[in-house]
Amino acid sequence: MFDQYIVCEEGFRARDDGRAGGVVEVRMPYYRGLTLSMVEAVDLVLDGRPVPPADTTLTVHGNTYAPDQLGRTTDDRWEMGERAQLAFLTDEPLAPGEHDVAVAVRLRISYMPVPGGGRDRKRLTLAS
Amino acid sequence: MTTTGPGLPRLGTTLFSLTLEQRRPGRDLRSLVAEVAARDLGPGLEMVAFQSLRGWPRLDDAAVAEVRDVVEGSGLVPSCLAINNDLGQYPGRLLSDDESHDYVAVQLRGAAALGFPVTRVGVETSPAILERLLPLAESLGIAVGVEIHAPLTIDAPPVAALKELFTRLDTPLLGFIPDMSSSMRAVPAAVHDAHRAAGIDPQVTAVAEQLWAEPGATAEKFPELERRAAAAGATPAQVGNLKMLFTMHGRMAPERWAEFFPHVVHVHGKFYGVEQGPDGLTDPSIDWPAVARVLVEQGYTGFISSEYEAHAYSDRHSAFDQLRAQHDMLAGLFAAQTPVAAR
Repeated sequence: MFDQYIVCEEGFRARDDGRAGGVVEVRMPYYRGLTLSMVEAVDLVLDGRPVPPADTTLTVHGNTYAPDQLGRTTDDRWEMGERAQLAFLTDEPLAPGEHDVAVAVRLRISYMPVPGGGRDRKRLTLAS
Repeated sequence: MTTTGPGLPRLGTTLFSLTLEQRRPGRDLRSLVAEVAARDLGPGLEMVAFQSLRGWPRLDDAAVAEVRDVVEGSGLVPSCLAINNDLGQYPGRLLSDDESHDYVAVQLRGAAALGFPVTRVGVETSPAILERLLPLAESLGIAVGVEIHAPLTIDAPPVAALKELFTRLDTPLLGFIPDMSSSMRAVPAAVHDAHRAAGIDPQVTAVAEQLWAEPGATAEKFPELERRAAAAGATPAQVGNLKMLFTMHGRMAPERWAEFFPHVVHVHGKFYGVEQGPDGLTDPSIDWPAVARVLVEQGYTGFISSEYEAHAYSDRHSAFDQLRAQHDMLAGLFAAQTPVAAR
């Protein structure tokens, strides 16, 4: 649910730490906030190429987590509608212009008979 | 105000219907609740704690006072607070019974502090945990309702276990919360919108929908769904969307809600789109005249929270307009019936 709101249309930008890569703003495809330990994965495919999870971090209201830290984090919550920053590394700096950005969020919602989460894909223009 | 007469169910709204509205920049709980009241979408007010209350379940005294002030100032009546029992919050294991009990108990105390008379949990809160929670519920004077949402129906084993518990304890503080997702007559058009947006061939959706409409329990249809969807060219990810179609929309006959009574503490008026038809307002996916008949015949005078859910799939409707339409439709349906007490 709410899949079409996962990838935010604004805020797609190059990293600000000088390394090659970018930041895409993402929302959780669910109707309420969830403890980060219930976020199993936030997977990114950029221009058709999967970005290794180890090359990503998720920042929620200023707190930054590597993917393997999410499962242990029971004292912080990704709120409904809250924009998180999915930062990623690439081999080369991102080219200006449009990119194809696909994000899949997997959530562990204990009462759902099928795995939770959702997918979204948008063409985003890199902020100059 | 759109009120219903004595001896009839009372109308209300859950803020879940306004999920997208809640994340609009500049929107806060106070302005949202005030708008629900101004648009005459009460008198009942329900909200989802983990959606509308930052910091839940540990609100400080100032936050509790603020929420109470918002609700009291609106003139709306707190009807139900939806809470959650996140059994899967730790990877690799489920909460123990003690953890599950404690996780819900904290939220019952929080709901009582906010002035809600009923809380909603899901079927993952087991009969044993509910029985353990009853003394606390009694001391707080708050009811715990288990939401019966698709794919659950009256025939599901967990529902039978709950019915046995509620019948045995026979207390007004434990009962069911019927959600109309379990008794739908058609897949909503909003779901078709979402499938198109996800790149699913409408013919694949049609194949799934045909199976959905056939008799049989939801879970038992999954192998056949996988077979037919794959034959129609669906990818594994798309099969996931199709399974959601099955788990979010149940096929129970609406008349069977009567079997949940008298142990009903609240009702969710789940819906995906009310339309103007030749004979007035109508809902293609839910048979509201049948639902209204059951509620009135059972003498139900609690709240029915209008719960618009199509926003999760489509922006084809305005949530506020849909809430208005459902309120008008339900008020008309209830008014057309004679309350049991007046017969």
